[in-house]
Amino acid sequence: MFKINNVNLIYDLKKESQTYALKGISLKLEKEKFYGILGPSGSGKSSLLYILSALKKPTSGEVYYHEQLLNNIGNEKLAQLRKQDFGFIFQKHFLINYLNILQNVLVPVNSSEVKYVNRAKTILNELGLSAHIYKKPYQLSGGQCQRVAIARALINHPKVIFADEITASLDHKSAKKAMKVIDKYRDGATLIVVTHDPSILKEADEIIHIWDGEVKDKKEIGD
Amino acid sequence: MKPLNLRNYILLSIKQVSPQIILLIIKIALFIFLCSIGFAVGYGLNKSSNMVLENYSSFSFKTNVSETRQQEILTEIRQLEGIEREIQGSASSEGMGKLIVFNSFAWIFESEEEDMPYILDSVDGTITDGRFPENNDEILISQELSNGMNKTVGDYIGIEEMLPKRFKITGVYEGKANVFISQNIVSNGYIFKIETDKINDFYNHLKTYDEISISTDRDNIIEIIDNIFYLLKAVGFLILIITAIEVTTSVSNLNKVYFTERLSEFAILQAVGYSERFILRRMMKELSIIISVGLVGGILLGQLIMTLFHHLYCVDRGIPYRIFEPGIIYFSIILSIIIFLLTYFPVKKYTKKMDWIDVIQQSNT
Repeated sequence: MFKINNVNLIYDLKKESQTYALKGISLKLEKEKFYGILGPSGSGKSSLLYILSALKKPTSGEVYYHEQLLNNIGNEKLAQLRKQDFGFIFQKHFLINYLNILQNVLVPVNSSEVKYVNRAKTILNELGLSAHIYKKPYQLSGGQCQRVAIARALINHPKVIFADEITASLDHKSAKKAMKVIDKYRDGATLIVVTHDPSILKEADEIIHIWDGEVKDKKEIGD
Repeated sequence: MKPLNLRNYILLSIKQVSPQIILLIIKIALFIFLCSIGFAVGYGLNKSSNMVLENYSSFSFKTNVSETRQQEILTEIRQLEGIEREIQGSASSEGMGKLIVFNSFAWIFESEEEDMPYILDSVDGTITDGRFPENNDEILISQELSNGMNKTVGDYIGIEEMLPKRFKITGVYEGKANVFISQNIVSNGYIFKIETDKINDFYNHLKTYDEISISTDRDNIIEIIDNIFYLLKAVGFLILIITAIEVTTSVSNLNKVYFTERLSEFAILQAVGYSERFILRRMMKELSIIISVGLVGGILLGQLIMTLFHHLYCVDRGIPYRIFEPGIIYFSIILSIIIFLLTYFPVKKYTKKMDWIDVIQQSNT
C-alpha cells in the first residue's frame, strides 16, 4: 500500500545547521494492517506520519501510495486523496468551535446524508458521547473532544487511518477504549498509530521503532 | 444542512462575526454622514449663485441721503458703460459665515413683479411647478433648493439668516444657479445687470460714492468664498481621504485578525482533505457576506442619521440639506470593494505561504 524509498526530511534547509527529522528511511506498509510507530519525543515519528499522509513532502526520496508517486501530485489532488482515503487523528482534537459535535464529525464528508449522520451517531455512541452530540466543543472536556476527533477520522470509511499521539489527552482506560472503537470501525483500513505508549499497540501487526529520524527496528508482532 | 454550509457558519458564528459587521455598519454610516456634509458644502459653493455676481450688482442708498442726491447719483451711474438692465430691488446674501457651511448659499433677489422673469431668465431658469410670486410673502426657488430643503409649492420657508420672515413657495424652477426670487421689499435699493467685462469698472465707480452701501461687494465676497472654498475643499478632501483610509485599514485589519484567529480551523480542514482553494473561496464568501451586510446596514444607518440631522437641525434653521445623495452610496460601495480587496490579497498571500502542518505541529507542542 505504502512504499517509501530513502526519504529524508530536513528542516531549516536554508540555515547553516540543518535538522534531519527523517534520515534515509525506506519502508513498505501493507493494506489492512495495524502499524505502530514507536519512539521517544522528537524522534521523527510524527514527521514520518506526515510524510506518509502527504501532509508534508519529503526533502528527498520517494513516497508511493498504491504505486502512485505522491511527490509529484499537485495540492488539489492530494487534498482529494486525503478526503477520500485518509482519516486523521491528531494529538490535539482541532474541533471547529462554532459547529456542534455531530457537525464536527461530519466535516470530512461535508454532508448531512442520513447514512453519514447515522454512522456518526453510532460511533459517538460507542465512544460514550451520545448525550453530547448537539453540544459545542467548548462544552466538553479535552478527553471527550479527542474522542470526537476519533469519530471524525472514521466517518468517511477511510482506507488509511493516521493517529498521532492520540493518547496524549486520554487516560489509559479511555485510550484503550478509543483504540477498540477505532479497530471496530476501521472496516479493514490500514491503521498507523504514532505513540510513545507501547501499551496501546498490543493489537498491532507491526511496530516500527524510530530513533533520531531513522528506523531502528521494524518488527512483526509474533516474530 | 451541510456542516460547512456558509449560511450555517454565519448563523452559528453570529457572535463571532457581529463585531466586524457592527464596526463596518458604524464606519460606513459615519462615512456617509461626513460625505453628505462635504457634498452639501461643495454643492452649496459650486452650484449656488456665485455666478450671478458675474453680472449683477446691487446697492442701496444710506438713510441720510436726500432724494435729490439719490437722483443725481443714479443719473451718473446710468451713464456708465455695459448696463443691460436696471431693476428696483435688492440682491443680498446675509450671514455669509453661517450660510457657507451648508448649501444654503443662494442669493435672494427682491424685485418688482415685471423684473422677475428677467432675473429668472438670467439664470437660464424655467418654472417647472407653480408661478411667480405675487405678494411680498411669496417666493420662487430653484428645484435644487426645493429638493435640498424638502419643500415644494405651497410649503413655507423661513430662512432665519437670509430671509428674516416666512415665505410661501409659489413656484419652483430648473436653472443653472440657485436663487430665491421674491417681491421687492426694499424701497431704496437697485440692482444693475452689467456686461461681465464691464462689472469691475462699474464697482470701481460705485465705490466712489459714500452715500451708497453695496450689498454685492463682489471682490470682498469672492475673496471670502475663494479662501473658504479652497480651505474647505482641501480640508474636506483630506478628511475624506483620512476617513476612507481609516475605515478600509481598520476593517480589513479586523478581517485579517479574524482570519488568523481561525488558522487551526483552516489547518484541520486542509488536513482532512479540503484544498487551499476551497478554504480561500470560503473565506472570501464569508467576507463578501460580512461586507455586504455591513454595507447595507451602514447605508441604512447613514440615511437614518442624515434624516435625523435634517429634521432635528436643518429644518428649523431652513438649511437646505439633501437626505438622499446617490453619489455617497456609490462612494460607500467603492469603499466596501476596497475593504474586500485589502483583505483578500493579504489573506491570499498569507494562505499561499502558510504551512498548515506547522500550525498543527505547533498546536501539538
